Amino acid sequence: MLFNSNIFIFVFLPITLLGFYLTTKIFKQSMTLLWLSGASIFFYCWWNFHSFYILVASIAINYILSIVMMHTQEKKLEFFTKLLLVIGLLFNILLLVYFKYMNFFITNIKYFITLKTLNTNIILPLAISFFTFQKIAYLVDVYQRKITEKNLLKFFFFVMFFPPLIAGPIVHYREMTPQLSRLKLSRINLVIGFTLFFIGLTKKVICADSIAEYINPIYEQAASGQALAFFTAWAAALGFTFQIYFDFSGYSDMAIGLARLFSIKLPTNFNSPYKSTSIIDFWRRWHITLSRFLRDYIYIPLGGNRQGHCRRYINLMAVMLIGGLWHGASWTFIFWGGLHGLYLTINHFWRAINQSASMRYQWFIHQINKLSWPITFLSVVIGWVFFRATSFKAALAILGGMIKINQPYLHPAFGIFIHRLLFFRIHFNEDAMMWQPFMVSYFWIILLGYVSIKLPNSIYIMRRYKPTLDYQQYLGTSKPFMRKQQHFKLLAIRTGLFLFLTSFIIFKSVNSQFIYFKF
Amino acid sequence: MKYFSASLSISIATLLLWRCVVPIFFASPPDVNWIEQLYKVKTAYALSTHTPKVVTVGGSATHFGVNSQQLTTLIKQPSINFGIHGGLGIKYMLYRARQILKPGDTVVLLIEYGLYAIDEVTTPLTNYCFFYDPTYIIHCKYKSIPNFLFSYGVTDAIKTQINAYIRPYSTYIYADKTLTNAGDESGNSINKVTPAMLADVKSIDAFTQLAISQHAMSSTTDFINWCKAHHINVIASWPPVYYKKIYLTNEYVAFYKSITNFYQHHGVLVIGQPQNTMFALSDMLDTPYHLNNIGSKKYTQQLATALNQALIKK
Repeated sequence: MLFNSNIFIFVFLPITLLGFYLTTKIFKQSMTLLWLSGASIFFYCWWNFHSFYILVASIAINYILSIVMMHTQEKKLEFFTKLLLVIGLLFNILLLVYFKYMNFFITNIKYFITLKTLNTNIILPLAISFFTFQKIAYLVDVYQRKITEKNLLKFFFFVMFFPPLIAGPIVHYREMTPQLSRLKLSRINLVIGFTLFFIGLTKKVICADSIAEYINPIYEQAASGQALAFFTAWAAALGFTFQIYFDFSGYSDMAIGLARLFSIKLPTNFNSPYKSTSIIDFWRRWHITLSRFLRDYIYIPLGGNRQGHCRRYINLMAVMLIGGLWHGASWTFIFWGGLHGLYLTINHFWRAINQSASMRYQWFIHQINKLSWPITFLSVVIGWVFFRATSFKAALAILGGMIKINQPYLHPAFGIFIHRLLFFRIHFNEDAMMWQPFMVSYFWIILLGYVSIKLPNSIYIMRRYKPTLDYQQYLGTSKPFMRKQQHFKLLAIRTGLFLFLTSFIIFKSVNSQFIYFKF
Repeated sequence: MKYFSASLSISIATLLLWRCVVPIFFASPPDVNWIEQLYKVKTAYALSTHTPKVVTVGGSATHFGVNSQQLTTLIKQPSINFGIHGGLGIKYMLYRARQILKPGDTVVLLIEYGLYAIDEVTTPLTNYCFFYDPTYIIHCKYKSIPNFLFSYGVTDAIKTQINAYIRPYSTYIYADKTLTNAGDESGNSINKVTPAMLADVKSIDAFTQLAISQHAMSSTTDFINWCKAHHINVIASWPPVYYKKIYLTNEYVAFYKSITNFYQHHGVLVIGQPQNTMFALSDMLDTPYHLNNIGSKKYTQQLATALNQALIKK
């Protein structure tokens, strides 16, 4: 069930909250964890019952490995501890490779070798990318002795907890477990949780879905080989740039809000990434928990920046290629990752130049640095074209349209309107975007662009209420709490308005999926 | 609790304000506006016709397919074309038909095949009721009330306002300018048919499912019973549709039979044959149910012939 579905909002969530309240009041913490784990199992099985067995098996194997690792650590058997870690990592990676990438490998190998017997219909278990990375992080933390607790229920809960289960944020075991001893249904957490939930819901169903309606047909057009006009191509590129941000950050806000209802704080996942003035900055603001994982568990173990510039750039490229592949089993995702690896390499190289350049070049460098925001934003937009397009042909069709600056075609229907203005010499072409989708999509692009680039994000808006584990890291020092009457009033108004906006979508019959669900 | 009751109150207050302000100060979507214009013209014409009349009721197949002036001449009785946007659904179409029917009238049901499958709640209906018929909510089922209350949101309003105020041209078919005084469509001239419109005729499937839904059965039964109680004669016939070979296969024939059985079970005379109301591409306009003016003449002639026989029998 989706977070924006009627059954989740009006049935699943109230029942889960009621059970949570009763178990915290009457029983011990373990009953509460059992209740929430049970609810999470139900939530997962509603999506995909058959994948549940894979998830449970994976949880069991990882837990057993971690217990044995802790045991060998106590016995100071370093070699066996390392061996168990390697086995654990291989198990998780191979599980992910089998379910997510086997179809991709077989499809590609078939170009070279005839393979009649191999199956290309392996069903991808829901959320496998996210829970695999969670378990890898868990095993490494056990190896590094950051985790010494042995508790199957807590581990099971940590993996299964439904708000971040399907599409993140990627939480660490050591972030979640200290909070489990303080589980309680409290008014302030309900207030903050629901406010965040409805903010996220608004971002998803109002912002992301509104623009998606207009840009999806353009990507289908591009995939079918049609050439795209200038404005149409830019609508596709910019439209998806904002769609993915509002879709994914909206989902993250909902997950953070839902977890908060159960008095659990999750880490921040987005911090206005389109305000970034460099690609390095972008990856500190976009899908922060993934960047954190890639940095701590891949980039640093590979050597990070400790082995010279050349090795650093290779490490960056490797990490970003893995990041691209993690998003999907497709060459366009890998290319997107590689493109960002190249961007990061150039960015680091540029910074090195900035630091070492002589005085006579400083003016020139300063002028280029003034363009840092548009260059960063444009680079990200180009990357998203490959991310969204289903093939290189489609991506190149869109990019080709974006550079046709000498052919700014509009649909002939604009003829009456533009001729009245007598300002432009506009070309008209039947293949250009029809006027209504053109006007509505550009309306949303301008509005969403303004919101994402100029206005504060949801974590900043809610900063007074300590919305996430690490919000201060991104916002500086927090302001003290407002007086109770003031902050409840303001939150009530916000929630009421967001509830009004989203209620039109909640009661419509068709639910839209989150983009990141396919990961 | 104060937080939740405050949030809910603000939400409800904003909703009430929205429902009051938007229909008054903002433009309605083009299809909704078209529906309202059709109803205005057709209802005014129907109410101005005093003698017992023949009213054809159905979706846009009826609106484009029946020429009421021609029908009046052929059956020598006043006839009203009460065809409307099929997206309103059977229940609402029949609800509005009740408002113009009087004892002694004859109503001819020409329900499109696809309409037998759709449910009560559709977007055109909820949007239309939001702007022009908010009191209809008391006639709908309880489970549909939230759909009616939350039908027209902010994103719909943005789309519509851009449509209304920046629109450089308007379509010639779905516009009130092409309605005659009698409520017939005059914009379906064969000269205006384009290859793109004919491509749509061929590609769109006229049937959604080959079964009559519970909702369609109950709505139509209620209407038939109401007509009987008010001494209104009910006749059923077949809507015009684009001919495809598959529509004459056993599966489809069984569906037509189920429709005939349903009406006959309720004492309603069924006239004509479904295969006789299937038309070639040259008679079509822009969808598998819309006839151009040539097709409309043929269909009206057929309907008149069948009606004359039925009315003589009575």
